[in-house]
Amino acid sequence: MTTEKTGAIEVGSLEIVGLNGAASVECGRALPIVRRKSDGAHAVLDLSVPDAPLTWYPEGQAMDMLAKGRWTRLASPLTVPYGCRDATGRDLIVQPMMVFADETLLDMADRLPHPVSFSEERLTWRRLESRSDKVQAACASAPAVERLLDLWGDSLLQRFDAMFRAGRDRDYLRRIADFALCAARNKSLRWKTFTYYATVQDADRVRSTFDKFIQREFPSADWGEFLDATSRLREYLGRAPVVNVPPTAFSSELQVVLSKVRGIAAVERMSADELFAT
Amino acid sequence: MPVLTDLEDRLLHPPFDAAEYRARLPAAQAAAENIHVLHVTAAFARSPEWSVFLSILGAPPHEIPTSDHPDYCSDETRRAEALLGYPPSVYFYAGRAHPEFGNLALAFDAGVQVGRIGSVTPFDSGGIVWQPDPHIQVRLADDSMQGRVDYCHQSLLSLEEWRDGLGRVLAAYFDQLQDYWTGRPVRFDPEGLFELNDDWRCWTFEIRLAEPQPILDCVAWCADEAVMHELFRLHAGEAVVPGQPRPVHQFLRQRLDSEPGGTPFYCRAMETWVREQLGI
Repeated sequence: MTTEKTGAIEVGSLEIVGLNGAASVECGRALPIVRRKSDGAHAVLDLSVPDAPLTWYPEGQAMDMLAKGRWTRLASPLTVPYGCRDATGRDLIVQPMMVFADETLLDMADRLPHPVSFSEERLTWRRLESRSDKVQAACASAPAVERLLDLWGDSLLQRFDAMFRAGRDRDYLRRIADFALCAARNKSLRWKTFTYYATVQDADRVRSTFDKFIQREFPSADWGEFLDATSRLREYLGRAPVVNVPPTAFSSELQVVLSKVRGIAAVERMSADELFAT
Repeated sequence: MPVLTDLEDRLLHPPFDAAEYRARLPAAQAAAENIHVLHVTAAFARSPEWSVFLSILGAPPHEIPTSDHPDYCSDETRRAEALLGYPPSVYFYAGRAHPEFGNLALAFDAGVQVGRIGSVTPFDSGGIVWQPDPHIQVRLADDSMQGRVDYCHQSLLSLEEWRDGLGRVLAAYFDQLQDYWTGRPVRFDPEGLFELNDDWRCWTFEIRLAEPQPILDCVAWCADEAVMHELFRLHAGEAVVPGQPRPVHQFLRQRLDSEPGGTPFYCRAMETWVREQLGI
């Protein structure tokens, strides 16, 4: 037999050996990859379908998948977190989730070192094979991981505020906002983070980002509403950063954007020299 | 006797019930005619610069390569193909996301097979011939590797006939259509494919196309959050060349509405979407 009902799995018979997919960005979450100690079979630990059996892959096939980058191995295994088990400690009742983070992001969020506990759950961090030592992963309950990522996202926005006021350049601010977007999972936090990103994005990309990403996540939002939110943010932050717009991008579409993006556009008050500054 | 061989004769005897089969068949065939086929891959598996996926998306002809691509498929896949006599192929599964390792699942509609070269088996063929320990069990008179290869060959369906075959399997072996995703077959075949295994890879249909598959033909896709953020960055940096197609933009249009920011449960999300399209 190659499958078992998840409820029938003795969590003590499993070890967490990796995360599904790749830790290709500075932080995030992914389903755990577990290894059955008895025969070395591997599975993606997905409890999203109640009572659905786990699909086990022979060790050789799992190693094949590892070599192709389909999952990422921890430097050493972890036990299934107690925060995901029932009172007996034997059965899984909550979805475990891997969280990974690069020290660069945590440093920027002022959240170093990697937390040893969060939301009353212990976090044991492991280095990821084939990645720099700066990237580590831990496993906790899915709700705790989501809250932890939101905490990092929120911390990064606070850092953005401080750096904005300190007059840091737009590229640096955009990097903070990008990291915050990488972390934030909560819908309202993501909306807020998108507005932060827009304030430091190239003006000619804002509408496209709104159309391709923001509106897909927030179908009821319209462009005007987003501009208003961005504008309010700009007022809150106090002053406009320098906007570097390359001359080739100065299309009529850009002019429309520049005239509409009240938030980004303190631009309206800029001189042509400032607009074309590189 | 593979699952579809002489099925009409077997339906006349318990545990099958021909009348119930006939009652279930129209809905099963409608689902099989329209079911999407899924392909799971790893996007941005290594550094983005070297990702095969990025090169697929970033440069023409934007095609998922067949298994002879050294970095896209494994040696084990090529070994199984050699054993089974299959040409290098792109692999899809009917409505199911296999393997679950990866971070991106793509759905293609029924048009994917039109005018193409390929073949189909009513199970994950690699699982039958996997060495040293096949993870799909069958009860064969000759349980040697050659016996297993023969069983796969006897089970082969053409691209033109597999949807009819899937409809008949769903009607004959399953009580309800949703059991293809959330349950299992409740009636068994002579070789015990559905009896000895409790694993959906033994009842999903594996579709093999012997030529690369244009990725922009996908009708829906879902990825984990890291992939979505990589695509966000790619979009932010994508060069705009007037008159030129923008593959990232094209690709983003097909993203699953239910998970626009991505989800760790991208396989389940994709399968749920397939079921929604079928009204199951």
